[in-house]
Amino acid sequence: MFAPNLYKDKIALVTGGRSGIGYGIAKMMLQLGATVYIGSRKEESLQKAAEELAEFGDVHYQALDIRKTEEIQSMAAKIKAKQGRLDILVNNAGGQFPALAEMINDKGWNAVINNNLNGTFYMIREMGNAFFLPQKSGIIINIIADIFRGFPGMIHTGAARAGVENLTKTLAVEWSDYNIRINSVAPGTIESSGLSTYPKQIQEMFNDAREAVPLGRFGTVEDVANAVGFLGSPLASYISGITLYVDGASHLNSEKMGLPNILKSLMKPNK
Amino acid sequence: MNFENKVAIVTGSGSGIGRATAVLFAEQGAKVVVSDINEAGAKETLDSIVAAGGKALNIPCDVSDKSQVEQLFSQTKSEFGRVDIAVNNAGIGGILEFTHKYPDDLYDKIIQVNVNGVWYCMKEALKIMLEQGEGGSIVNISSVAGIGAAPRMSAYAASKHAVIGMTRTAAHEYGKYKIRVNAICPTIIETPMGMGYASEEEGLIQMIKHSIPLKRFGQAEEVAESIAWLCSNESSFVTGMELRVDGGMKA
Repeated sequence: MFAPNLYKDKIALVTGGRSGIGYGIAKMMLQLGATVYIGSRKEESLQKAAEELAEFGDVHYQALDIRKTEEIQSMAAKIKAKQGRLDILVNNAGGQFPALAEMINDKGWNAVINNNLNGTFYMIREMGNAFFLPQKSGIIINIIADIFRGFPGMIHTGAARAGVENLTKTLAVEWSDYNIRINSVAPGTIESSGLSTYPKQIQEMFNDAREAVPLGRFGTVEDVANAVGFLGSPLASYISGITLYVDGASHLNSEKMGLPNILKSLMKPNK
Repeated sequence: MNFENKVAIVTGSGSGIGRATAVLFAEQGAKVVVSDINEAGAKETLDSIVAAGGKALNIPCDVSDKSQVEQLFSQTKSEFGRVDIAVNNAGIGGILEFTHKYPDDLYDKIIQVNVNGVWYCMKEALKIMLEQGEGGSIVNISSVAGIGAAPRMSAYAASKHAVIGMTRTAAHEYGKYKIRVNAICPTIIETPMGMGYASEEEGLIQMIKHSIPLKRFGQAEEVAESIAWLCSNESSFVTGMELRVDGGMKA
């Protein structure tokens, strides 16, 4: 239903745009006419992604660690010098690892909170100050996760993403004076490059989990990109402060013990 | 055209959100059934669709009457051959009154239209979509009063909360048949119904407007765009969701 020029003349920044969902979002926005900046920590693969994406439109890249304010400011300066403004920020960069709560040490906990929560806040603050507040316009979309009923098996990311969901609500109100819309998108399990990084037993669990999704399948990168495409466009001009679940109704399922059970069998084989 | 060869029923499409939705579907190529208890309004909607070159049919319906709902769906099937999209939008607001003084007969009426009406429509839509075996999309119109308090509108709030419960449950039950069921939760929209409250109490309306972060009421077209998105392929993994179109009001 998206008109082919829905994002014409728009400038967008997608963090974690090198692969998976971020790559899909960048591709969708390029195809609809946007100029897109992608950032990611790994410069070599980021460059490769940008070269591929160039087929779909005007794409730029710069290495970006969202945990480092000076790198974010450098990205903002790059965009400002070339474009003079930013219309849309998609905070997609993030990461986590499956782990039982009682076995997560300080370093592991802090790493996930720092990346998913702090990094997202730094991005929003810096891009807000550099662009959205002075422009008196802006659209922010935060990619979180299905945290509707907690996140058994990944407590750190559940907590971090809940933090992002709450800052989404806060800024929908606090920055409404600046005509800034901000929303979250909560994907369920998505068939993307990230899935193959999990251990074999967890991948087997995915087969059961797939059938438990009310729609009977995992999501695709395109499913999430289309939700971002909707929220980032004038089609959603009256929508702010929401979390849009793109999960085939998984958030309404109450069975969430699959991952913790696998983790228990892996980490505590004698119990 | 995104809805080419699709058949959509929009109840309450004689004005406001329903009308904007019917018009948008028709613009995007759907065959649309315009339905309302207000026949003059429905005819206006129908005429504007036809004048713009769209395909539409008017089947009047009081959604609180099960037999009329059955007739609406069976006639749609016989005239247009199928049903792909059902937007269960018809609803009433009632009056502004505290719970202990709210008239029971008005409470009953609100439940009959807003709850039973959506229930009857959803059942008929599901039966046809299951029989077709090709999935489908149902959008029920709830409200911000369906996810939180709505002072002096307790009957309306109860009815709209019920819509959320039906929506979530049906999404769960029929996901495996690729039938997606979602709800929309608008705040006050500049429609005859939304502005009806304004004529009652201007001070209240200004207070509500002030409580909306985007500092304005929504337009029917903005709600229609969200409904259309929920019925499109671009939302094919979204189900069981209540989508707020509320300018941030319930953030």
